[in-house]
Amino acid sequence: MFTRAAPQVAPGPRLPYVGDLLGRSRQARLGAWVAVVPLAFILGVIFVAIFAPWISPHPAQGAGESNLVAILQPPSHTYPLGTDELGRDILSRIFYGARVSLLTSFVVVAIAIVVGVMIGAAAGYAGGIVETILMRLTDFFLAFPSLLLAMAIAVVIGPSLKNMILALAVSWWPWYARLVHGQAVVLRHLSFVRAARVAGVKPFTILIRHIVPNTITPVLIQGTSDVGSAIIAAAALSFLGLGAQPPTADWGSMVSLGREYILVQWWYVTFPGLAIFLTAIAFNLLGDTLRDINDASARRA
Amino acid sequence: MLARILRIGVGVLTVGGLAFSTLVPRGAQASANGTLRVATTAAVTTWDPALSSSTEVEYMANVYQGLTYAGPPGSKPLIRPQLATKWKHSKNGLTWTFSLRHGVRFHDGTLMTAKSVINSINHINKVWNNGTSWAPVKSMTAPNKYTVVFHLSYPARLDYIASAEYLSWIFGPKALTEPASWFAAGHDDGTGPYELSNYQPDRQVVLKAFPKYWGGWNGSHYKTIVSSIISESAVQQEMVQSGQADIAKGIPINELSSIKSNPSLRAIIGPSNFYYLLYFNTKRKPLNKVLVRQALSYAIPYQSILKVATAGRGRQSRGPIPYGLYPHDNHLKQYTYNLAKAKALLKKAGFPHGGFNLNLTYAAENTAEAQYAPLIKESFAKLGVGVTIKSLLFNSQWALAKGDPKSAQDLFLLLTWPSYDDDWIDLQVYYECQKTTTWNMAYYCNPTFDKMTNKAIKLEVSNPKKARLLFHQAQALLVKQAPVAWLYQDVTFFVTDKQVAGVTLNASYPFVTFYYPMHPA
Amino acid sequence: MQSLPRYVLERIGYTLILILGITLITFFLSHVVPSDPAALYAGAHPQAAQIAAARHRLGLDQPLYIQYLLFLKGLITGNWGLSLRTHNPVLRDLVTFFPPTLELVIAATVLALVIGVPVGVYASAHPNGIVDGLVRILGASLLSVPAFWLALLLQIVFFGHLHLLPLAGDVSSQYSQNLPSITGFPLLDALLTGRFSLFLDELDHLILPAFALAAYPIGLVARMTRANMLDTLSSDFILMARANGYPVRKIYSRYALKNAIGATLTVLGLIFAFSLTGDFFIELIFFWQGLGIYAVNSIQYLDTPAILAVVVIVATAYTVVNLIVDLLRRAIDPRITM
Repeated sequence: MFTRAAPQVAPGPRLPYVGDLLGRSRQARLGAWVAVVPLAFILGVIFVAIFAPWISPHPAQGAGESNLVAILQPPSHTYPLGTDELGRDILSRIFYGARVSLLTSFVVVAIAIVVGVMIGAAAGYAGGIVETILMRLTDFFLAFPSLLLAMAIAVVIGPSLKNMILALAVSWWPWYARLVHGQAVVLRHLSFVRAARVAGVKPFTILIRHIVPNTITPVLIQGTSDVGSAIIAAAALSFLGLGAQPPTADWGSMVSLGREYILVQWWYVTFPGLAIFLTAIAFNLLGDTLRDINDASARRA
Repeated sequence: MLARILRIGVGVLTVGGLAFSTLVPRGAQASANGTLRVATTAAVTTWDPALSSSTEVEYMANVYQGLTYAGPPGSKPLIRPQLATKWKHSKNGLTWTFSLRHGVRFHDGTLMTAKSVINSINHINKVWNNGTSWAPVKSMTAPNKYTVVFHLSYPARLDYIASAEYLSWIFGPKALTEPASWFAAGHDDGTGPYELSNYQPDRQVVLKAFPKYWGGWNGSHYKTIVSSIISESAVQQEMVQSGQADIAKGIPINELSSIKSNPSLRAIIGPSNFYYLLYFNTKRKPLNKVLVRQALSYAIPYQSILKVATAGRGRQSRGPIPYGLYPHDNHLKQYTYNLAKAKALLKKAGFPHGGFNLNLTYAAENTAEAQYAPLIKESFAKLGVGVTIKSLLFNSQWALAKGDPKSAQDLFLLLTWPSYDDDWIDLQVYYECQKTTTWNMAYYCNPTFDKMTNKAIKLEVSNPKKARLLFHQAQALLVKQAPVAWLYQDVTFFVTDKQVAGVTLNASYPFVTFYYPMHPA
Repeated sequence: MQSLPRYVLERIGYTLILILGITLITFFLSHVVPSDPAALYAGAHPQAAQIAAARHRLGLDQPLYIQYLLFLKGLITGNWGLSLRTHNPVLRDLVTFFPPTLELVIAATVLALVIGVPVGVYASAHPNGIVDGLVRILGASLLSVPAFWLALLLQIVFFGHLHLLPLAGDVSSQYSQNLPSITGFPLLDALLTGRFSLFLDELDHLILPAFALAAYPIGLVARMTRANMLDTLSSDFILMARANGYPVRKIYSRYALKNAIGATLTVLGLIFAFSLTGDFFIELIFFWQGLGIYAVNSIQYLDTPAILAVVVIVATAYTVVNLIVDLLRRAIDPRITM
């Protein structure tokens, strides 16, 4: 959840993935389900996020407009998932919240990948003192549990959606740096890379053209799973009030606000949290499936 | 074999779990005889009566006492005898004579005399470098064992000051000589009906009846008060509904209907002196224009805010002084929610369609502010004025406001309360010119206003009628200039078990519940 | 590759430098956040003169680098400063609040092992069956569920609807007046003083938080055990043994299980990292009086001395545990390069 599956840095105990369980023909059909359902769900969430203003039952409330005549109502025909303390329809708020969640997690993972890959590739390829400095820097960031680091940064730079994305990205790039570093070290010694170096190709070009593309596959697979973990981490930070500010709809802060009413108006806490859970698990399963496909093709190769 | 082990294991766990859940005593617990169990949010920052200025007053006010005591706002007489039985002052208000009650014992057993009073107040002045409301006291003398004469350097209403809930307690010799660790361990040396018996930080405070209390123990009283410090409203609700607490002070008023539907609980609702302000940053454009501030004051949805934050039971503020406190003016002009007027004023100010953006900060820990800040944003949007809401921890919010006004927030939401009922001091604290900002987050500086209030303060004792007139004029000026929008006064909401009687609400002491008059039904 | 002792020394030295760096950064960052420690110390509603007096009392009128050096000196001598919020020495606060957290984390880890390992083993014994499928789905869910939401759900179901377990807190209020304190660990103290009903009550309050915190570790351990068992069972050695007629049960208990447990130990590092962060939220939601809630209160109050102390403790614990786990991995499988 907050921590992620150990990056494939060195041989050793591998964490189990769905792919371990496939391979028998009877399971191939089940395997298809495991791959397809999460993907469909994710496409559904993306669709909902894009078209929220058109498919929400109460789009204005989803965007933040108050509706004081229906404060804290239970689920009903008009308000399928109930209303919050300002009378706003929770289902619409969840739809609008999907925008924030998807945007946040994609951007965080994207930044983390870009920064991490550049640093890790540079470190792995350059070697020597550059490698030492960069990897020590990476280790420094890894000395702290990533979510706590993000919390600390977010508290210092002030609560807002932009700052939360920054804080999360800063605490996540080290994993990708480590991941890429190991592979870059291996690649550095391969013949085609040495040939390019001898031929006088600029280091930067070698990085972009040879090193990065050969390391990108595990990065992208890890990234897909990480989107799920990022959604949870972002929700956790907004739960603490460090993310999107009111009245923006956001799954994590909805769960936080709903806590006060947990004894009677249980729907307020349950449904936004369910959205977080289902989206996260869908991304994790999708990442698992991609990893399995990649492993299978690597095994065949 | 493994499977068998697993099956047995599961069986054992299930049986054990069921047995366990029946063993543990659960459900409504009747309280031990004479014990009142309180669920409160009040944390303790210090037990030293010369330092205490925070939420621990909830306990301090039951353990310590001052010379005088304030009844609920609007009651007559407002200031009543407590450790002093009567007092008088000279015509010019510079000499006050207090006659002390005989036979009052501190919790360490010693007798309270004029010397104790003088020592306490001297100690407070020393600790705070004369920075408290006792500042006007130049010297004190004790012509006899039970009389204290105060000589002031400028006139002040000492009877009000002596009734304050902060820094006005009279304490015994132990509180003067013991080190900080004695306090931290949970000790006191006051004169109040209860004494501090046990303290576990962030968890619990236990008060026990002081047998030698001067008020005596005739009639029915609680002998022990056990206060659990619970900051979660849901947990407080659980405790009072399951019978683990007899009174819960931190349940939000939105839960009123579920409380009402519970036959064993009683909801107690009363006025409170907690109030909310919205400061306009008068040093930033365009809030530096009076017309703009007035326009925005007409654009605040006061009734909606009351509905969301107090379930409609609070009151919209009328000016800077809370209801029932001196010098509140019941005829002071009050802004109402009127978008048409707001638009007209904005147009006059040169912003016919709004077109500017304001930063609003509120305290993240304050759920009420979190709930109604969006309503303000929504309403301002109708004028074409954008609002960006930022929730900051209160300490951050305040620190930001104390910085450079040019780069601080535009709108500052504040929850505050008066220190004592003679509330003209709040006119100075929040609205006077301040070189370094402490509480004037509007950065408002109007020498005319300051002159008016200073003159009124000087006349308070010698010419009360004129003083009140001046105070009213000063407030009227303030309302016209609108550096602040006065939002609402909160409501006190307690939930008690039906077995608890004698709960009295006294808005003159925010945070405090007095336990002495309470008794089992 | 270096010898083990040299490696350990190097890592320890590196850890110390790391912690020093973290304290430096935290110390100076905390002065970037807008906050006024003197005002915090002075209470809820301080006047200007009270703030000035507090500033002097706290020594805040000294230059920043002197304050940092004093802080470092205090760290070593045991004077970790005064909490701005509780006005207690911070070290005393930490000693009070740390054992309940440790109790919670240990309970969660025990649950993870006690539930995760047998479930993983059972699933590996009957691969592709119904139970196996359920385990896989449940495992994936447990790994993806947000801990704070699971905690709230548990509250809603087990307290709100079923009224089986208490909502929050670590002990019922009728006991909280005279809690024993010998070791500081609530459960242990209750047992040591023979107060069985208190022990049961505390256990009662421990159940929901422990399960909420254990969810992710259970999923991790179950899947881990299952996968490694399957790996081992399909290895040549085992196949040979089975072909030779070696009893299946003996194979399980002697080889496969040991292998699986060994692999599970290496996941402890991840479990610990998760517990550190998850603990914050669990304690917050269940109102568990431990280090997590102390940290949250300190952060909300901007109580700098307390925050610094918590940062030091967390960073130290995390790096030390990582070091131990790395050494364990090395010991189990010397092929692993560092």
